[in-house]
Amino acid sequence: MNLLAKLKELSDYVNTPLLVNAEQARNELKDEIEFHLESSAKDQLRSGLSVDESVQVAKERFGDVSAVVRECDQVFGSGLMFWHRLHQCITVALVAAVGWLGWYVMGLQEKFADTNLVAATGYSIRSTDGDLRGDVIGEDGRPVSSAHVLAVVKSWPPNGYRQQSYMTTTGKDGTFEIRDVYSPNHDYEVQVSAIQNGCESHCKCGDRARSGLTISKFHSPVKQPAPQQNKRPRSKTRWTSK
Amino acid sequence: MACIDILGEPLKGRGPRVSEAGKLMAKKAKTKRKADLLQGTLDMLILKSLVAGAQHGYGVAKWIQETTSDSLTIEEGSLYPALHRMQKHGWLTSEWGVSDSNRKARFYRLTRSGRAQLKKEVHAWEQLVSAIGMVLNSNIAEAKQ
Repeated sequence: MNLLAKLKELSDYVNTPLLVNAEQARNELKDEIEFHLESSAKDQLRSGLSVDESVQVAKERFGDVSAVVRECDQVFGSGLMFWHRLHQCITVALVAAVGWLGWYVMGLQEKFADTNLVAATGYSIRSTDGDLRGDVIGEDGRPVSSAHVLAVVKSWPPNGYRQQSYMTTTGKDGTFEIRDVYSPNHDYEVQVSAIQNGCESHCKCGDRARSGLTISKFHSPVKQPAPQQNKRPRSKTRWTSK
Repeated sequence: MACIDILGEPLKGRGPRVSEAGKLMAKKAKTKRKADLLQGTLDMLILKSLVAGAQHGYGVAKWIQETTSDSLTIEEGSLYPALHRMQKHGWLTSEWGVSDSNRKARFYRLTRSGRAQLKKEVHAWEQLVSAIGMVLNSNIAEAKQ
C-alpha cells in the first residue's frame, strides 16, 4: 500500500469516528450494489426477459449480496482497524505514562515531604542528625543490659526553646544509642537517666550518678555544631559545641 | 424499473434454490462453455478494464463480459471487495458521479501505482502462460530420455 493511500485512510479515521466511518462505508456500498443490480436488471430487461426474471438474473449474476457486504466490511475494517488499534495502543500508553508520571510525582512529593518532616525536636529530620550514644555501667563496673534510658534534650533554636524526651534500653553490652535527637547547629542540653532494677542514675554531660548505675562514655554528637553567639543563659550542664 | 431491494433475502447461488431465471441462465451457459476465472487474475482484469478511463463497478463487470464474449464466469459481486481492496492498496481512487442512466454511481479510476501494478501482473501472467505453453508443447517421449 502506498503512503498516500495510508495517509488518506488515516485522514478518514481522524475526521470521523470509526462507527460513523463504517456506517458511511456500508451505506455507500449499498448504493453501489443497488446501482449495479438496477443496471444489470435493466440490461436483462432489454434482452427480452420479464421484469421479475430480469431482477432475478441480475441477483443471480451478482451472487450473495450479504457475503459481498461482509467481505467489503472486512476490507474496510482492516484499514481503519489498523488505525483504531494504533489509537487504542497510544491511548493505553498515554494512560500508563500519565499513571507512571503521577506515581513518580507522588514519590517525589513524598521524598520532598520527608526532607521537610519535622522531627520530635521541632527540627527537620534532615537537619536533625545529632545522635546520643553512651554506656551504662553498674557499680561493679560491668555493663548493664536492658536498662531503661531516658534522654531529655533541650535546644534553643532561633527565637525559641524546645524540649523533647526519648527513651530506649541498653543492649547486652550496656550501650545505648538514640539517633537524630537534635540539631547540632543549635545550642542544646541533654539530660540522661538510666533505671535498672530499682537503681537509678542521672547524668548530665557524663556526671557520675549519685547511686547505683553510672552513665559513662556519654558521647557528644557526631557532628559538632558551630560556636553560637548571643547564647541565652541556661544550665551549666548544657552542652554546647566547642 | 422499480428499485431493487438489495437488503432482501440473499440468493445463495446455484443449487436447489435456482429460480426459473437461473435455469434460463444455465441453459444459455450450456451453449457456451465458460472458463472459471483463474485465481488471482481478477485484479488484473479490473485494472485492465480501467485503463481506458474511470468506470463504475457494473461497467467493469460489463466490460469484462463483453471483452471476453461472456467466456469468463465472474460472480459480479466479487468485483466489489476486489475494487475496495485495490483502492486500499492505492491502485485505484474512487469518486461519486452520475452514470449514463443519470443515477448516482461510484466511479473507480486507475492511479499511477495501479498502472505499475497492472504492468507487473501482466508480466507475471505472460510468464505463466509461457511456462504452461512450454509444458504443453514439450515432447513427453524426449523428456523420458
